[in-house]
Amino acid sequence: MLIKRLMALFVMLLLAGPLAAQDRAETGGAQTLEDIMARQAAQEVDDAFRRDATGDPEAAAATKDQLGSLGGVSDAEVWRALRYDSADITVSAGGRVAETLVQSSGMEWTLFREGPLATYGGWTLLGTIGALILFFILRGRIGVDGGLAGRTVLRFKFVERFAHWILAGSFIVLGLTGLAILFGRAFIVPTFGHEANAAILRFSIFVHNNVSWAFMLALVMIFVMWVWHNLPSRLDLVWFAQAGGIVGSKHPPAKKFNAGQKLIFWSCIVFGGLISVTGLSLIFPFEIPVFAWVFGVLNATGLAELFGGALPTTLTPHAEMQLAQVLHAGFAFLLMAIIIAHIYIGSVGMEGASGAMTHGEVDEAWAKQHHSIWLEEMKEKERQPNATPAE
Amino acid sequence: MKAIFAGLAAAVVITIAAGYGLPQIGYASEDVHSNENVRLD
Repeated sequence: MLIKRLMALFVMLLLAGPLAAQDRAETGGAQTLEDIMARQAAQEVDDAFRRDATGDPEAAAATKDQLGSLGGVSDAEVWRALRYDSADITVSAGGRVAETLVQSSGMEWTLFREGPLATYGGWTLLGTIGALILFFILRGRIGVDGGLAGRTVLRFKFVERFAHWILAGSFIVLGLTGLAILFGRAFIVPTFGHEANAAILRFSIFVHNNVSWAFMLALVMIFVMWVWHNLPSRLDLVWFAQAGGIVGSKHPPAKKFNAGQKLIFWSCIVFGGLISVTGLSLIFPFEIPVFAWVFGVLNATGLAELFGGALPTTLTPHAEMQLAQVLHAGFAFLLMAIIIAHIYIGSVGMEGASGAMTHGEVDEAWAKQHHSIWLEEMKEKERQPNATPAE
Repeated sequence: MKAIFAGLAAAVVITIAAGYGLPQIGYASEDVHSNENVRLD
């Protein structure tokens, strides 16, 4: 028992030592047992002693000498250069993408995609749905104080509802097909088998890639139509202070969009925009490398410190794609959670809200309760000749 | 309800148009990332 403990202590001391300063003379400069054990213990290992040991062209042997044809490097050094993507490779097709033969971060990406991304993303959606069910049980449906008036007012014009439903329909399809692509291997394969999963995912990817254009078009449409109404104002502070009337009995004044709706709008624009950019990068593989540039900007502005120091500005095309996929899915999970809450409050969660986006009309009592200033503006315009709705 | 159906129909039309239109004008990764050296056909 004592020997075991001493051995454990010995190993710990070995692992805790400064690995970079190790003497690797006994292995001829190659990795040592300590390096291997540290790597197995998931510790950070400075592998510069391998990464940089790819031969010295200055010391190249003459072509008539042994190793001369390799340009002054040994076979081991050539393989090491391939391993760390620093070998001078010429390919006849595929360009920079095909020149990268080994890419370590690909495995990190796979593990992250199948692990934390799927786990936390999935629980974010389920947690949102659970929280809304709990909220509904505790708060119930938010009603209209004093009941509906029976008189309606046009809240959204046809073109606004049209754009909203292009965006909504495409986003729901994108969400479902995106979830199938991410979770298919874990959930479809065990039940329906690999062939069914392959067929479903082929169809999902086709639909996902192409319905995205409808989403991006509608995103631009709603931005153009509604950005003016969604600029922050002092009224938003009042709305937040009174929790928008969702909690409690107060009904803060609001124009066409209240602060909560502005949050939804800007979430759609910001997250939808980021999802679109990363999605385009995925639709056109290796054509839109953005992260090397973004990381360069973050480094230059000092914001990279938030991520633990300088970020790499030289990325393989594969790393660009992997980052695009991870952020695409991450932002999509966030936006899906927000949109689930939006769907809730626009349907079962609030009396009188759904008409705004179905037939376009809302009850005046509802409008007075949730958008009192906008209702006054509408009535004022009605009293004027040549009035236009919802402006 | 017309806006709902019109919006969803527009999304379907755009999807189909993109699915068949983009490859026709050369925006297909199969075309972009391959050449005669690696194509079997």
